This record gives sequence, structure tokens and C-alpha cells, in this order.
Amino acid sequence: MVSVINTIDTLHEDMIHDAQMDYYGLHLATCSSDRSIRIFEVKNGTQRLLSTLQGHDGPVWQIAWAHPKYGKMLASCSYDRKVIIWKEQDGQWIKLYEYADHDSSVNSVCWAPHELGLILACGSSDGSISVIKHHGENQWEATKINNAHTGGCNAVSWAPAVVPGSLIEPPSQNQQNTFVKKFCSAGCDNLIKVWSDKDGRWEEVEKLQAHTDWVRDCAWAPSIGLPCSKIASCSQDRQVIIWTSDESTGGQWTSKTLNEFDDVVWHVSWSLTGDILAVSGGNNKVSLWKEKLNGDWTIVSDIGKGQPGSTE
Amino acid sequence: MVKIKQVNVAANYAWSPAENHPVYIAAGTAAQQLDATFSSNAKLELYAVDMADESYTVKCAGTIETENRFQKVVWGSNYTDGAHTSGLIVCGTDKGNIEIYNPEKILENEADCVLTTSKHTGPVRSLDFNNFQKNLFASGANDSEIFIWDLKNPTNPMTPGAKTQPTSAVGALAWNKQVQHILASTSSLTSGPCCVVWDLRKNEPIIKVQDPSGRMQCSDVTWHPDVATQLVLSSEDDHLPVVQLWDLRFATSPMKVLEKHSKGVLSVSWCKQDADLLLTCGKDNQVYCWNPNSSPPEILCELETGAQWCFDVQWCPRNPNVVSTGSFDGVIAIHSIMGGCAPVDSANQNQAQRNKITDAFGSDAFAGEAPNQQQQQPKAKSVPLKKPPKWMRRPCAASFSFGGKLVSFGNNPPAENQHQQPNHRVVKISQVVTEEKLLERSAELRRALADDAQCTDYCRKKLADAQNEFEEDFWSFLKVNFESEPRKEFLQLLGYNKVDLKAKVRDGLNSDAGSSNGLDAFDQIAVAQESKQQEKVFKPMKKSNRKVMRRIPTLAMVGGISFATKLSTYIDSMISQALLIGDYEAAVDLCLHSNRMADAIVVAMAGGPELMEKTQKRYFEANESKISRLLSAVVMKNWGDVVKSCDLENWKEALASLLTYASPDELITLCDELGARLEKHPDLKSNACLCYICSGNIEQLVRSWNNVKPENNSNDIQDLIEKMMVLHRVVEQRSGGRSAASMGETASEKLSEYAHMLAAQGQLNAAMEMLPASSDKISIQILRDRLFHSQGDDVAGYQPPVFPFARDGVRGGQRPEAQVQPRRQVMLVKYIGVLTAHLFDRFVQQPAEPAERLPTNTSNPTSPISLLNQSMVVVNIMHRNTATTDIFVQLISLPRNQMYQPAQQRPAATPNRPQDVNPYARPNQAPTYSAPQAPTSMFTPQPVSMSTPQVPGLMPMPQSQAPSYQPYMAPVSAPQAVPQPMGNPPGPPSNGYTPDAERKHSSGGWNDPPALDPNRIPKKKKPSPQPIDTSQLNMMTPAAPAPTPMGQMMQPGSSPMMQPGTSPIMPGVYPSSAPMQNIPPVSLSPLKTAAAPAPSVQTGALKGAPKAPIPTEHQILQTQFDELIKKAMNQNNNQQIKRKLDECSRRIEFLYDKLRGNSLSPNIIGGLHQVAQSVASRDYAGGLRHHTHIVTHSNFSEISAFMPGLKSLLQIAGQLRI
Repeated sequence: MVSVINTIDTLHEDMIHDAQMDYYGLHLATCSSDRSIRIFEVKNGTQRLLSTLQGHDGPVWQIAWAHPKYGKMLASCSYDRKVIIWKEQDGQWIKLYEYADHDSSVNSVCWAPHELGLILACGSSDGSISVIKHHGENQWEATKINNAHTGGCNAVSWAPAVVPGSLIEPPSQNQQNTFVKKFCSAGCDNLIKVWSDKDGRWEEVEKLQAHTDWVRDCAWAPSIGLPCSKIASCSQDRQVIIWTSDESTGGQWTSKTLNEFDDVVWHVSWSLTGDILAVSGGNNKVSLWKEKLNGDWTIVSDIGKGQPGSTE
Repeated sequence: MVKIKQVNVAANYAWSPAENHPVYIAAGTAAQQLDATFSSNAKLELYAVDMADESYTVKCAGTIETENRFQKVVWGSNYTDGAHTSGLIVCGTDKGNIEIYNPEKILENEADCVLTTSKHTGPVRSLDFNNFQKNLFASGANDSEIFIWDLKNPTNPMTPGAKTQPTSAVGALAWNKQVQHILASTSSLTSGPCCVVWDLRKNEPIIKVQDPSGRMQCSDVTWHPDVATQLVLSSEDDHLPVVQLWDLRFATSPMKVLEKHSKGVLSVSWCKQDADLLLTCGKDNQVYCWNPNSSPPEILCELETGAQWCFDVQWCPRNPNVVSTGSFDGVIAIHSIMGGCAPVDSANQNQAQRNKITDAFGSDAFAGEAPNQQQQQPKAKSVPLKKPPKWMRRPCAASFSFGGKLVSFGNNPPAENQHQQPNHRVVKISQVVTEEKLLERSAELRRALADDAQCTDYCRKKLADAQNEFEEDFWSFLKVNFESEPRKEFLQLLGYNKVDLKAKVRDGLNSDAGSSNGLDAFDQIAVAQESKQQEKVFKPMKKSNRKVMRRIPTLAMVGGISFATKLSTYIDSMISQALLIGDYEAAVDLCLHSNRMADAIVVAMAGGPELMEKTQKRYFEANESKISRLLSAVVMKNWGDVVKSCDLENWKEALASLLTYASPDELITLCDELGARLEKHPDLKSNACLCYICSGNIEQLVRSWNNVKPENNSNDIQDLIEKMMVLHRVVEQRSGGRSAASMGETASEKLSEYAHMLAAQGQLNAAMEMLPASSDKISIQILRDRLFHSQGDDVAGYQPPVFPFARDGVRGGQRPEAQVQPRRQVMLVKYIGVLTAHLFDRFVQQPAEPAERLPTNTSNPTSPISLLNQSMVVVNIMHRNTATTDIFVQLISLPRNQMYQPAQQRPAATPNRPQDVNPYARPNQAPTYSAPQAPTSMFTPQPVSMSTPQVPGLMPMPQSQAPSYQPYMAPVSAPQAVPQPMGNPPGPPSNGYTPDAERKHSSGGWNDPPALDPNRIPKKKKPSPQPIDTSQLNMMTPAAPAPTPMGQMMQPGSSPMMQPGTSPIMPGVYPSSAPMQNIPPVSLSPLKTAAAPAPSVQTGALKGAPKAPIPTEHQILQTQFDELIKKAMNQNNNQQIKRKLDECSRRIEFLYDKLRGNSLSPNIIGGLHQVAQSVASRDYAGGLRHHTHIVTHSNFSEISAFMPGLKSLLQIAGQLRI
């Protein structure tokens, strides 16, 4: 059952490309082809525009909220080849940092799990991926993975912070250095790649091949305490594939097609408990999927065309 | 655009259709050009364009030799089911043939021509597949010949109509993209129509497009991808190098003209995926990407192709980011329109190509000439299209956020929602509920927990709905907890009923009296009827209990060995039953009756003196007993033995006996013990849960449940949670609501899992209710924080939880980034400026007071600069590279005038330090705090004077964010905090993070408070010096006169941490020396110059900085502790205690400041809340226990400032019995 609780007229002057809630679900950030980012306060079915962030010179593709321990912080990426990190400081949103080292559109930004520190991954159409790390005092250091995806990178998504060997227990602070730093990326080379930090260098540890067209999005599922990693990917080839790797059995990735849709699939998003996958397609349809006990995926809700929220 | 790959072949080519994967280029040797080798061979090759392959070269995947060279190559999609899954390649040859190949055969290098026709008379220059009927294609050749071919029947091509006059070569053909029977053809003649549009249904031309200028020499035609009536024509005439956009509805003149090429345009390609993208290439070596739909048409991107013309440009049908150009230098180049950098080996490729040409012609042929040289220069990074192509613009997305909310938007085509508000601006937030059953059950459970009556009903309902025996037992056991006498009810559930038994006994005795043979007869009956009798006993029991009973192995055998064997006779079982339910009299009767005198007496002894007396009267008929163990257990009350040694088959009897005899306290441990034994039993482990219900042990219940039912779907968890919560309520009730039963770790985990599930369904409030209240597990704290705040900042009935993460404030970038050192100086100058301004302010505002209060021997009392000097002394003193105690002593002993000396001698070097010292200020808070107290009393005679409040006030800058590093969990053990000898690099304060991390933080954000702790401001920064309250005065006194009080105050908190004899320096003070050693000396000049103008700026800045409020969730701490101090003050008359209290109050102020700064780790704060709770309930001993717990489990440096104060406060409160 899906019921609309807020309908927000963003007043963007062009297409919206992303809408993200913050950690507590109190603030909504939207970004658009009109080059702006808007921030709304959403409470009890009402909403209020708090800020409009201007700074990009092209359509803003994606936004990502940082963990609240870093304050109110937002990263955005744009067709203008820039990544901007915004911060609310004394009630004002300011540009904290601007990263302009990509040669083409930056299509995706994703913050690492907060346990790893303040780290942002960015995927660009120039085929490279940047990993930007905060070193204190607003000093940022970027590591670039060149030629990560020929034809461009469309999406990046971090693996949840887990310590190898003890996947059940959430790690404590002093284990910080033992966290596995990993993320996946999706590209126009029809691949999903898994990258892992090896002594400060990013290594391609996995190349997942099954899609036959651009992979539009990938999403690493949140950890639910099992020694199992899961990635959802969606593609221009209209397929959504679930990739699983059971670390207890050697970490081989296997793929399972969730469904073949009747249009391009643009976006996949896991629920926070990792049991439901929201799939958004080019026909403006959103469907929710759940894994059955036998490992098959079943649709739990199909949200009508252009009517996200209609019940079924 | 950037070139990403290249194929070195002089060929006419075609991309594989969009639906094919992988992507190939079919390249047929070009008829119109010679390659470098002058070879006259002809080939048809397939090249695999693999984007996953990072290399610059494209692999040839298959080659076949052909007879003819090619004028045109097209690749049609698969039109049948199965036959040619990769479609067919149709080639027009220079000899007028049309040859059709199967690409799959080419991949196997098999020269298998599917079909060859020779209908055309001249070179076949144009070919196009129909967009709708994939089996149809059109071909054009010289003399205005056009044929329409059906691959299903290729022998009889049709013509679209009568030939156009005058006849000319057909340069290009294009099927309409919207209407399947419309075809356009071009003629290269300038006289006559340059483009004819045919309607194949009517078999005639419907429109002839004639350029008004009459000079159009049409090279190419392409239809608008979306608009049926629009097409584009290109002119190859160098004098008219244009591209015209025509709308056939207004076919008198072109709608738009795209003018940019400087020479004739050879090819156009309109992007199928985005109609705003049109590629053109011309003899001027340029490729342009246009938006033909904008007014005027706009060039989005351009590409210089090098020294050679491109004769052909095409979008890759499958991957619209990719375009290809074919050029006369024998290269098919593949470009990405997304810009970016070319692969590294591109330069080598170009070189290789040049070498090949040079080889072919001999090295002299191109001597001195390097037409491609320009390519060698590193090209500037190419720019992507000015506007992103349509396929990059994500039209919709739905993302989950906390609480099962789904944020979605969708950009519908405008046509669909013209009447509504523009849909592309709307974002919807929806609540996703997938576990409706769970929510229903959860709501039911929460209603039930509201009160007892509800709870009983709930149990009853659950019992009625129970699906299996296990559930039934469970709920019946839980239910009886709400009855008036739960123990009795438990017994009944186990199959023992006092009333029934009494009746039995009576019956037995009566029947016996009637029989002549007394006992023997009775026994016989008993044995014979045993099974029958039992049924009778059980019959009156409730239906639900019957099943419980059935599993009871006949009658009770309590006690060690004999437990293993069943009692064989009815009489024994009767006695046992009587004993089990505590009916001594009946037991005695039975014993006597069966001639067991000793038993009778023993039982009677337990039954009290009266019964004993009665029994003794009938003592003479003695008999032997098999149930002595039970008797001994009953009489000796040795139930532990029973529980340990009983046969588990008889667990019910054991449990029954416990319920009957064990004292409430014993009951819990004994039941638990029995439960533990049962858990190990493979068949009986599910019964362990029942034992735990009897004992009220939730934690064990959960563990045992996990054993029995390890599955974890939402229903299972709900099943367990229902039981847990009801039992929790029971336990709460049993303890008279005194204290909420605390949940153990496993139970907490389950609850938190459950809360997560509820939260994921949007039930935030319910989730909050389910979270165990008193868990310090970090995962639970995190969830609670998130639940609380996501419901807005005000949730009825809950204190705002502590933020469970270490804040890591990043402050932004108005300041130059690069130089750290200068920035610090700026800050320092700034704060000194603030200080002086502040002092100055005071002078101006209160001219009278300073005159009175300032020491007379101050050289220039009214000058702010002199005050600045004063303050520097303090800064200096406070941050000298010596233990503070030493300073303190020095200060005390220094005559007032001398005090100014150090400041004047080295005013700059020292005040610079506060910046660096700051992060370490926490550990040595107490001592440094004391230090400024000392100068206070020396500068001025009064304890509180002009200078006192101001001096420390200058140190901290107003700041909003706690800069301090706070470990995630602060797992610290106290002994590590022991100082090392001076001189060695100091050990980190051992709270789990590395010295590196500490230093990083200590080097300080520019906004870090410059000196000491921010905590210090508030107290000093009294709005005005006049209202001095007494408590404040008292607080100052002990610190001022001598070092002794300081020693005292170190003691309580620090003593357990200090190792005797390690160092004379106090541990708290010590760490401040660490950063000192790392700091490069700072030159005098910047400070001096900067300090001078400072007084004029920022007047009153300090005043304006308010003391930050204590976070609401912690205000309770302040309230409780302040209240306690106040109460103690009022109660107490003893001066010494009063002084102690003042000290406490002062110390606790540090705590408040830490709370304000949010710089305490969650476990400390949790502990403090527990202390506050104890204070609230006047349980000071408990408070001290919590206190000790905090001290032993936390980072010493984090708490040393206030914990001793808190301790003595609790002690005093205990002594005073307030």
C-alpha cells in the first residue's frame, strides 16, 4: 500500500532530476535542469521552501545528503562538469567546496558510509570516477580512477560499512581502519564494476557483465547483518538485475534478473531495511519489489503511470 | 566530442541495428576511393565496437572477400522469427548489384551471400531500410532508378512511381520515421526537384521539394525523428554549403537554414533518441552537431576531423553517445559526444596510420610533408555538448528515505497534463506499507499493553487463536499471570488441582474404609484403575490444559534418583500430588492410611505443630516409603537439588513443586535453572520458554525462542515480541511497577530489530515505544535519535535523545585555504582585538567602577592597551609550557608589579599558543581553570573585579559547533590515562583514536575556540560586574589563595586513575605540554602590528556572544544537579561542607559547558542521566555507583573536570540525607 503524504510543487523551471530526503526525513532537496537546487522543510504533510542553491552552470543531475554528524551538508553534481559540496552554516547555505576536475558531465554523487569518514564518490561521463576525501579544515583530496567506464560512468553507490569477518556486529569506532571501503559503479560500457580500496589505491575487484546496454543506475543494498552483499542495477536494456555475493562462499557474484520492463529503467533504490527495491522506469512507473523466500522477486506494488502514490 | 576509437579501413559502413548486442560496424571496401596499397580487392568486414574494451583499436570480428566494391552498406534488423537474428547486411555495389549478407556468417568468415540481384543499371549509391516493415528496403541508382525490395520476396522489386524527370543519380533515400509508406529520394541535379517524396500507397510522388535558389545539389536527406512532415536536406555545392530544414506542409521554402559549413555538406544524421541533435559533415573537414529545432539553429558542438573530409557521419543506433565519421583518408573514427579525454594510445594510432601510408608509397613519397602533424599536438580537452542530450536527463526516480517513505517525481510529457499544474515540478512523498498484517498485530499488542484488563483479554484471544500446542501453552502460561494467584494457576496448567485432589483423597479414603481388606484392596484398585483414574482426574480440566496434561508422565516423582522411575502405586501418586500442592493434611492421611508412619510424621512436621500432633497419635502403624526423597525435598526445602537432578521427562513435576514450595526469590533462579536444563534437551527445549515465563526472565525467553524458532520473517518476530512484551508487563506488575524490567541484550536486539521493522513501515511512534528505554547499545541509541527527530523535534512523552554520533564539523571556505599558519595569526589577532575592544567597552561604559576597582599600581589604568597586556599575562601564564601548578605557585609568589614583566618581554610568542593548546584543554581543564583564578586575586584586591570577568572571557571565541573530537564509543580504560614522564612524546589520551587523529583535530579548524574550553566563557562573562551572587563568591575563594584547594579537588576524581610515583605532574595538566612541543615558534611581528589597531574594531563583539543553551535533552541534568546543590546549601550549616559544595557547583559547571559543546561521548551522557535519575529518586548510593561506572568506563580526560565535583556532591547529599 502506498499513499501520498506530501505533494510538493518545487517551482523548478525545468525537469527535476533528483529528489532526496535527509537522514531524518525532515528536509527534501531537489535538483533540476534549471541549474538550481532547492531545499524544503517537510513536516506533517506540509512543506516550506528554505533555500535555493545557485552555483551550477548546467543541469544538476544528482544530490546527496551527508550524514548529520557532519552537519547539514549536501553534494551535487552537474552537466557543467562540477561537483559542489554545500553546507548550511549559521543558517546560510554556502559552497563549502567545488571540485572541477572532470572533463565531462558528472552524473552521480554518493557519500561513503559515515563510519569511513567524509568521502564522496563521483562518476562522470568522461569515464572516470573521483573519490574526494575530507582531511579536516575543509581540505579535500581527490583520487581519480581513470577509464573506469568507457563511454561514461552513470552511477556510483557505496557498500555499507562492514568489517570483514564480523558482518553481524555493527563495527565500533576503533575499528575504523579495518572497514572495507568498497563501492560499485555503473556505466555506458554496460558494466557494473566493484572497486575496493587497497592501501589508498582503488582497484577494480569485480566486473559484472550481464546488461546489454547502458547501465543507468546501481544501488548497493544496506547491510542487514548477513554475510551477503547485494547490488541492484538497472539499464537501458529495460532489465533490473540483482547481483549477490555470499562472502561466506567465496564472494562470487551471481546475477538474477528481477524483471524485464517495457521501458528504460532509470533508477533503483533500496528501502533502508534492504528488503524492498523501488524501480523507476522511463514510463514514469514506479514499482516495488520484494524477495520471496525462494529467492524470486515479486512485485508488491505498482504505482501507476505518472501517479506515484496511487494505491493498488 | 572526443575520438575514442578508430578503424583503419577505407570503407562504406553501417552500424548494427539498435536491438543488436554487441555492437558491430559492417565495413565494405569503398568503391569511390583507393587505400594506401592500391589494392583492388574487396572485402566486407565486421568490427566489434566494444565500449567495455578500453583500448583505442577496434577488433575485426570477421572478414569475407567479395567480388565487388561497395557504394553503400546498410544493416537491417531481424524481420523474421529466428532466421536471421542479427538482421541482414545489404550492400550496393559499384556494378549495379545489390548483395545481401548474413552477418553471422561473416563472423564465421564464411563468404555466403544470401542474395545477389542485378536489377540496377549503375552503381547503387543509396539504400535505406523501412522503419516499420523491417523486410522492406529501398535502393537507388543512376538514372533515377528506385526499387522497393521485400526480403521475403526479393525477386520482384516494385517502383515507387514513375521516374522523376529529368533523370539523375539517386543520391540518397530515406523512409519517413513516422509514416511507413512515405519515402524521400534526392537528386544531385540542380535543375528540377532536389528531393522527391513518394507515397507508396498511391505509387506516386506527392511532393517535389525545389530549392528556391535553384542551386541546391542535394547530397543527403533525413527525416525528423518525431515530426512526420519535416526533413533535412544537405547541399554539397561549395557555393551553397547549407543544410535546409523543410516542413512539407509549407513546402515553398525551407523552414530553417543551417549555415556554418564553409564548403559543401556531404552527410547528415539526425539522432533518433533526441531530435534536438543533428550531425552534419562537409568538405570543410568539419563535423557539427546542431539543434535544428532552436531558433535560430544552434551549434551544440563541433569536431575538427583533421586533414580529410568526412563523407559520412552517423549516430550509433544503439549508443547515442557515440557517433562515427568516415573520412577519405581511410579511417572510420568513433567519437563520444560526451567529451572527456581521449584514450592514451590515440596518438600512437595516428602515428601508425601515417607509417602505413608512408610504407605504401615509399618513404620518399611524403618526404617533408606531414599533413597529419597537427593531430600530434595534444588537443585541448574537448567540450561536451552545450546542452545535455535527452537521454541524460533522468525523467523520473523514486528513492526511499527513513521511515518507509518514498520520494518520487516523474516528468510526464507536457501533452498529458496540460490542464494540470506543470507536472515536472512536483515531487511526491509517499508512505510505503508492505507489512499490513504486522502493523495490525503491532497496534493490537500496543493496545493490550495499555492496561491489565486489555492484556488479559489479549492473552485470551491469543489463546483462542493459537495454531499449535506450543502457542497454546505459551499463552495459557502468560495469561494466568494476570490472575489473582498465578502460582496456583500455573499448577493447574501443569495438571495439579488442589480441589480435585482433595476430592480424590476423600474418595480414596472412603472406599478404603468400606473394604474389608483395607490397604491391599485399595492398592489393587489403584493399580488396576490407574490409567482410568488419571483420566478422571484430568477430565475437569479446561480444554486448553488437557494437552498439557497428556504429556505429563503419570504422577510426580520428585527427588533425585527416584525421579527416573515412575511410582507404581496409586497411593504414592496421591501422596505426591498432595505434597506437590502443599496439602499436608491429605498427605498425612494418605501416609497413615497406607501405614507409612514415618512419612506421615515427617510430612506432619512440615505441616505445622497441630498436624504433627494429630499425626503422632496415629504413629504406631508405621510403614516404608518410596518417596522419601520427595519428602526430604519438601521438608528440607532443598529445591535446588531437585532442579539439578530431576529427570527432564518429569520437568512439569519439578516445575510444579517449585511453584508450590519455592520462595519468590528462589523461584526465579530455580525456574531459570530448570529452563536452562530443558533448553539443552533436544525434544523438550521448547518447554524451557514456559519455565522462563514462570520466572519472568525475558532475556532467557528470547534466547530460548531463538533456539526453537530461528527463522526471522516479520510474523515470527511479531510472535515473539507479543510474548516478550506481555511477559515484560507481567514482570513489571509483579515488581509492583517499582522499576521497569530492563531488557537484556538479546531481548534488546530483538526489540530494536522489531522497531526497525515498524519504522520501515512508517510507524515511527510505535517503533519508539518498542525500543528498550534503558539500553546503552549504540545501535539502539542511533535508532532512537533518528526516530525522535524524524517525528519533528517534539515527541510527546520523550526526552530529546542524545545525538549518538561524534559531530565532525566542517566549516566553510570564506577564508583562503592554503596557509594555515597565517590564518591562526589572524584569528589570534582577531580575538585579541575582541578582547581589547571588550575591555575598552567596559571602560567607556563604566568609567566610575574601573577607577575604584583597578589596582592603583597599574601603570595606566584607563588604557586598553595596558589591559591588553594584563590579559596577555594571563594568556601567557595559562599556556606556559610548564605544569600549571608551577605557574600557580609562581603567580602566588609574584609581587603584583612583576606580573607584568613576562608579558612585556614576550608578548607575542605566548599568546599564540592558545590556538594549539585548545584541543588538549579538556584534559587539564581543572588546573588551567584554577590558574586564571590566581591572577584574579592578584590584579585586584577584590575576588571579583573588573579584570577577573574579562580575562578569561577573552579566551574563547563564540562558537556554535563543538570542535572537539569525540570518539564514537569512547572505549577507554582508565589506567591508560596515566601520564608518562615528561620529555618523551606524550601518549595520547588513549580514548581509542590515534595521536595522529588527535593532532589533526588539534591543529584546529580556524573556528576552534582559541583557548581553553569554550565552557569557560559563560561563567566569567557576566553581563556586568555588579551583581555578584554569594555562591559565586564562595566558589572563587578556595581557589584563589593557595594551591591546596586545587590539590584537594584533584583528588576525588583523579586518584583512581593516577599511578603513584610516576610523575609529580598532575595527570590532568600534563597533556597540555604535548602540543607545545610541536609548535613552531611564532614570530613577534604579526601579532604586534595586528594588535595595535585591534581595539578600534569589533566593539562589543564579545558581549554579543551568548552562552549556548544546554541541549534540551540534557537540561534535566542541570536541573537535577543544581537543585541538589541548592538543597544541600540550604540544609547545611557547616562551613567546610559549604566550601565543598561551592567547589562542586563550580566543577559541575564544567559539565554543563561540555553539554553545551556537545563534547561528551554518549555513554558518559547516558551514565550521567542515570546519576540524575538516582538523584531524582534520592538514591545517592545508586548515584555513586553509576558515577563509579562512568569513571571506570570512560576517558579520564573527558570527565576529570566535573566528575569529582559530582562525586562529592553525591556524597554530601548522602551525608545530609536530603
